[in-house]
This record gives sequence, structure tokens and C-alpha cells, in this order.
Amino acid sequence: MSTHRMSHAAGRMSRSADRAGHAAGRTGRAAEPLSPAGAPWQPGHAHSPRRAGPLLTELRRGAGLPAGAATLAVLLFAMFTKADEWLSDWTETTDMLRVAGLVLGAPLAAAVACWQGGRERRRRTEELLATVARPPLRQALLAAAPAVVWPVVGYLLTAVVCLAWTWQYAGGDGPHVSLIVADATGIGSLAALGFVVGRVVPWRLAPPVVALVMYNIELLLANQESGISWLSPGKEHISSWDRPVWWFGPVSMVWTAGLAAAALLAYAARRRARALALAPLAAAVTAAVLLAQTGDGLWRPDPASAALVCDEGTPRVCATRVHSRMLPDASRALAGLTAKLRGIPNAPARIVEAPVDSRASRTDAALTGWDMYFRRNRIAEPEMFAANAAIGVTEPYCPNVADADRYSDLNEAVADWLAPIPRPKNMPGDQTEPGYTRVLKRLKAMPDGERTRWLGGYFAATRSCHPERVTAP
Amino acid sequence: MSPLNSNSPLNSNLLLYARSRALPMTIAVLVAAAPATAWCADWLLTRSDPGPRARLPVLVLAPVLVAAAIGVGLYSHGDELDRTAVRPWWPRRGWHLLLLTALAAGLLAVAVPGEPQAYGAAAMARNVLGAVGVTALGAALIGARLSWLPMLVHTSAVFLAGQAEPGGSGAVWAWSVQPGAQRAAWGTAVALFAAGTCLYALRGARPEGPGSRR
Repeated sequence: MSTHRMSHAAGRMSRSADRAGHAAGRTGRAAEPLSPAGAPWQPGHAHSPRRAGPLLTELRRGAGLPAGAATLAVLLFAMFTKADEWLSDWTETTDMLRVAGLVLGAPLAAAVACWQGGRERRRRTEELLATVARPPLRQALLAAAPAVVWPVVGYLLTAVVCLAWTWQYAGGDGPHVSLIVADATGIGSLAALGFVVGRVVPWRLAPPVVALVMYNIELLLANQESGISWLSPGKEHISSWDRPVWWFGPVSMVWTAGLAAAALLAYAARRRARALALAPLAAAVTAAVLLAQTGDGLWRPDPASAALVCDEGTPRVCATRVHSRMLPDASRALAGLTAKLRGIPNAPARIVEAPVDSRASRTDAALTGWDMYFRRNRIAEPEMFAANAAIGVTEPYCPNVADADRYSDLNEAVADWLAPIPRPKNMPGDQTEPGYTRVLKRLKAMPDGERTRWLGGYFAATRSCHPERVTAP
Repeated sequence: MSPLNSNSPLNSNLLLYARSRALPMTIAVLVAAAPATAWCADWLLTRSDPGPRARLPVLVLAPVLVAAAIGVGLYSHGDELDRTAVRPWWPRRGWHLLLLTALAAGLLAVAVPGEPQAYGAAAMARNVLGAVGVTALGAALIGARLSWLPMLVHTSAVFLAGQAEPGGSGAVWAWSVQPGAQRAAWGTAVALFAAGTCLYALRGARPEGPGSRR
């Protein structure tokens, strides 16, 4: 800004400040001259050689800094309460950061930004600021800056803490940084939208309503069955063996930042420049179409994460690379089960962690949901884990099998003989069948050699999905 | 003794009080919140895999909205003038808060009939009590205009804790995400409501600066 324009603006400021002083006097409050950015003016400040710029002044004062601190505290607390669920791998950490940041942090940031947007109205300095030479868009950006920047900083600090914490537990390739940057952009963009609402809507209840509307929109979008659900910035993806496509993060940023830029331009740009809002809006719509059409394809299976790491036992116990740090505890928990299987002909050669409920090999026993039994890579429920593994060993996938009741009784009896504890009865209708009881009692009473022979026949028959070939024990 | 008519001093005083605290707008928000809550609760239950805690978001967020609506109306236009009044303010402030809370709790409890996994009318009434209590404390300590902020921060912080097993110490600090039968959660909510109502009734809202109506 030239010296001439600055002195001109200062002259107008002093005249307007008098009016502001009269207005404040009527309300019983001392007159408080304001800087162009809306911050209290200090005598002699303008002549100081180390004068802080308006952006720095805005960032240091007002609601922004407390909002950032509140965002940091809320997110750290929320992440801490769920730490056992996300500490084991990078994808879980990124997912939980996304849910906490966008579903919990963003509405809070938007509410505070909405409050910040009404600042000039509360101070009755709207007319005063309208006389300032600085363009309205720049004024709006300066006023919005603290409410946008500090919550984003709060989120990024949370992300740094959580990623550093995850480092000591997780295996694999590292965090999905582009998604974390996209989440930070989403939080800032939603805060900017809240700021615009605060500028436009003169209602005391507007800030909490903005927060609740954002909660509801994210819930509504995220729970849609179609690809539209991916327009919710807080939509989570629960699979540790998938990776996002490379453009997911950048396009998400265009989607949220485009909306915010369009709203800011439409509100604050001068009349002739207002049409510029169409450009970010078009970019946001294009990004939204891309996200919605791709849908679940935004995450692709990652073979490197699902690659197996096995111990040296017989049968071998294998974890996916993502959960390789769980393997020692898993081997120990399954030691009793593997000891019983050792030496039985046709028994599974490996007990493998399966990312999804599928069976790539008939000689493997697949076991899903390892993370349910582990906390921070240490096993929390070893007996339940072993009981679940016993079920995986004895139930090869055989659709349309003949005499399903007998098949089920045989499987349950063998599983309970292998497991350290009986399987839990989940449903009220679960009853002990006479066939199951007879097979289990006979298995326990058999001499070792006879039991090994019978179990060998059992595994051969069930592996080929012909349980009718199993002889009565 | 003649019946009270619209021109009696008592009626006009109450009308003036109601208008000065934006009570018509507050009541309109409370009334509008009930059908919106009922629709959201129904929608959450009709999803393909609702789960046992399907209605939890509504049980947590609707009380925040009604408490915010009540809280932002607790301001005073001229607290210095109010202090010169002959009559004590605490009965009026107390009844103001009690009646609005009763209305909000009743309307929202009716909006979530049945008890899908105990996130029903009882949990809703408890959450309205606690949320209004926190908001009234906020009005007394930081002003009516920002009174919604503490409850919003609390809700954001404990929302994810709702997926944990109910009970334990969480029933105290995460009272708003507990099922209706948790006694500790009820105790916390009632204590917050009592503290908020007493503090607001005795002290009123913290004075605000200019432009207090918006």
C-alpha cells in the first residue's frame, strides 16, 4: 500500500473511530479505537519500526488461539480414549484421525469461526470497516484467518502426536500423509464456511446450529449406501490392508477447499469479481463427481500389506505384514492348539491371518479379526483367540453341504477339543446338540493313536467338503 | 377480586420479561427440534445395519441444540439496571430455566419412543438436564452469548467414548453417551443441572458488551 493511500485511510479511520466512540459511549462501554484488522489500536503503534502486520495481530488475538487449543485438547482426548483400537497400524491411525478431526473437530472449529464471523457486528464496527481502503475480501480473509488457521494447527499437532505414538507399534509402509493434509484442509474449509455463515446470519444461535448441521450432514452423507458417502470428509474406511489411490487426498482437498473458496468469494469479493466464485465452485463439483463415481474404489487392496509373515512352528502361524508384530504373542497363544494338530494327517499346514473372510488355500486355516484380541500388539484375550482359531481350523467353507446338522456337530466338537475353552454361546437359542456331545465325549476318551487316525480322516473329508465320509468316532 | 386480564401489571411484566429474553424464539426452536429429532432417530434406525447404539448421535446432539437455544436467551440487556430492582431476580431466573428445561426434556423424550438398547426417552431427558446445566453454568461464568461452547466441547470430546462399554468411570465423565439406566450418569447430569440452575438463578448471566442482542 502506498504512503498516500495509508495516510488517506488513517484519516478516514480517525473520523470513523470518533463515531465508534460515540456508539460505544451510548452502551456504557469505553470507546475503543480499532485497527483496520479490527484489533484495538495502540497509540504510537503505527510508528513503531517493529509493527506487527495485521495478519500476525489477528492470529495473536481473539477467538482463534483458544479455538485451536480447544481443538487440540478435544482431539487428543478423543484419540486417547480410543488408543487401543488404532495404535496397531498406520491405516487405523489415519482413519481415526480422520473421524476425530472431521466429525468432532471440524464442527467445533466451524462454530467458533461462525462466532468470529459475527465479531464486527457485535462490536458495531461494520460501517467503520466499510470505510477502510483495504478490499473487503482481504478484510474477510484477515478476520477469518485465526479461526481457520489455529484449529488446523490443533489438528496437525494431534496428528504428529498420534503418528509418533503409532511409530512404536505399527509395521508397514508408514502413514497416509496425503489424507492427513486433506483432513487439515477439510477442517480449515469447514471453518471458513462457518465464518461466512457468521458474517451473513445475525443470530445468536447461529454458531451451535452451524456445528450441529455439520455433524448431521456428515452423518447423513457417510451413511449413504452409494458412492455419495465419500463426499463426507469424515468417512472412514476400515481395512488395514488397503491403500488410498494417490489422487484421493488431493481431490478431497479440491472438494472441500473449492466450496470454501466459492463461499468466501461470493460473500466478500467486489461485485464485478463475484463471478470468480464460479471457478472454485466448478472445481469442487468436478472433484465431488470424481469422488462419488469412484466410491469404494478410492481404496485399493495393497498386496504388500497383506503379505504373510510366518513363525517356524508346525503348523505354522502366519500374520499379515501389517500385524507382524503380533506374531510372537499369537504363536504363544496358539501353542496348545498347534501341539494338538501336530502329527495329524491332513490337518492345516498353516494358521493364517486373513484380511477378509476368504480361503485362498484348502490346506490353510484362515483366521480373521486378529485386532479384536490384541491391544497395542500384545494379546489381551489369548484363550478367546485360540478358541476362535480352533473354529477357523475346523470349518472350511463348504456351501450346500449334505447333512448340515451332522457337519456342524462334528466341527463344533473337534473345535472344542482343540480349543483351551469351550466356544461361547452367543445367542439365547444356542443349545448343546446330542450329536455334538457324543462326538466330543468320544474324542476325549479315545486313545491317542486312534484319535490321530480319526482326526486325519475328518480333516481329509472336510477339506474336500465331503463330511459324509467321516466315520462315527 | 377480578380475574387477571392482559392489561394487568403482572401479565405485562411477564410479557416484557419474555420478550426481553427472546422467549418466543427459544420456544419455537424447542418445538421445532422435536419433530426433527424424531425424524433423525427414525432414519438412524432404518439404516441397513443400525447396531445397538444407532440412536446415540441424536441422543447426544439434540440436547446440545435445545440447551444452546435456552442458553443464548439467558442474557440481560441491562444488568446494572436489573440490580436496582426491588424484587429479587432469582425466582424469575429459576422458573425461567426450570420451565424451559421441562418443556425441552418432555418434547425430546417423546421424540424417541421405545428404548432401542436403552438409548430412549430416559437417556434423552437425562441429557437435556445435563446439557442445560452445563449451558447455564457457561452463561453465568462466560456469558450467555458463548454459553453453548462448553457443552459443544464436552460433546466433541466424549462422542467417540460412546462406542465403549457403558459404566465405570466413563459413566461420570462421559455421562451423555451412556444408556439410560446408568445411575452414575444420571447423578452427574442432575448435579450439573442443579449447579447450573442455582448459579444462574443467583448470579444471572455474565454481563455482555455492546450488540448483545445478536
